[in-house]
Amino acid sequence: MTQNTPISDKVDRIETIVETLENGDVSLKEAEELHEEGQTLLEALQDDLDVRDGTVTEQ
Amino acid sequence: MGESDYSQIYAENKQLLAEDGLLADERKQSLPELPGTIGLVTSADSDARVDMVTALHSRYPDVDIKVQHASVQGPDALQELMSGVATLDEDATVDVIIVTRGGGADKTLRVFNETPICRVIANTDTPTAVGIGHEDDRTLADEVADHRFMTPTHAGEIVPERAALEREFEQLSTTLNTAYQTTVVNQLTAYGTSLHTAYKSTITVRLQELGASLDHAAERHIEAELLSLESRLKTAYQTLRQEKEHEEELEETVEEVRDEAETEAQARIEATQWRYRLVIVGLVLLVLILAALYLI
Repeated sequence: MTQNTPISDKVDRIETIVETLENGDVSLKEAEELHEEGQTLLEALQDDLDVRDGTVTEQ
Repeated sequence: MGESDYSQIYAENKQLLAEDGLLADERKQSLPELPGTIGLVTSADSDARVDMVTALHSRYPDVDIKVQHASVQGPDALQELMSGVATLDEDATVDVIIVTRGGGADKTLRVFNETPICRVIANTDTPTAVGIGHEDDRTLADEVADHRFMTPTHAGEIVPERAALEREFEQLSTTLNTAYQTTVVNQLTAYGTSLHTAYKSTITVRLQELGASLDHAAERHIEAELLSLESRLKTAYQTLRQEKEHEEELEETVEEVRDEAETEAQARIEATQWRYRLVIVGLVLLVLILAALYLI
């Protein structure tokens, strides 16, 4: 996924990661990789929140 | 123009737009989940503009808003609205275009039923949202836009609530961390159990091997010890037997020596007795001789 990936896709991916972890059918290494991927997506989502500066331009 | 006459024009315009497929739902674009910049086409000094900006920034303060001023009624309205929409559509930073105005008399809203402005709105590359008048007001511009909202105040729905998104992301983070920690704990517990079981199994097998080796070594040691004892016993027996034989030989030798000594002593005694007897006989003979001589 990239920074341009829609927010909903990132959220869906994180929810999929959570479901995979909760199913418990993953190794420690896989769990760590999934957790890191989820953290990266969460950081990207936080970055997504800061869209602009909130300015109002009259044209 | 009377209301009935305008209804006819409205229907004809709608028919034209429909024939061109501009009312079809499949043409409609999805609005961006989180637009960074919103282009707003409305009257600059209208309450609608104030309500729009307030509604948008109350939900998402960070979003940029570019206001493209346009008359929303009167002779210049159609051209300015079309120009405003086109200008914002050419602006690559604009993620969604909103066309709006507040409520008013039905006649003042008729510009939004004109096919030119409807075609411009329908043909933009940028997603569009239109909200004209009050909740009961419907225009063809509403119909061709990708999204319709009831009033300028409702335009805030174009953007998500930032606070709600932050809460959702925070909840996601908590859920993710909990799921990860639970997975790790469960995995480590399972590994610990497996390790303990494997350790016990290994120790059991190893102890059994050591026990068998110990038993085997003990048996060999006992066998060797018994062999050694047997050998020592045989040796001791033989030594004892030899010593016994030697002792018997010595006893025999002593007996023989004793016999020989006794015989020899006896012989010496007898010899001595003989010598004494001879001396006595000699002495007797001498006495006899001397007595005879004396008598003679």
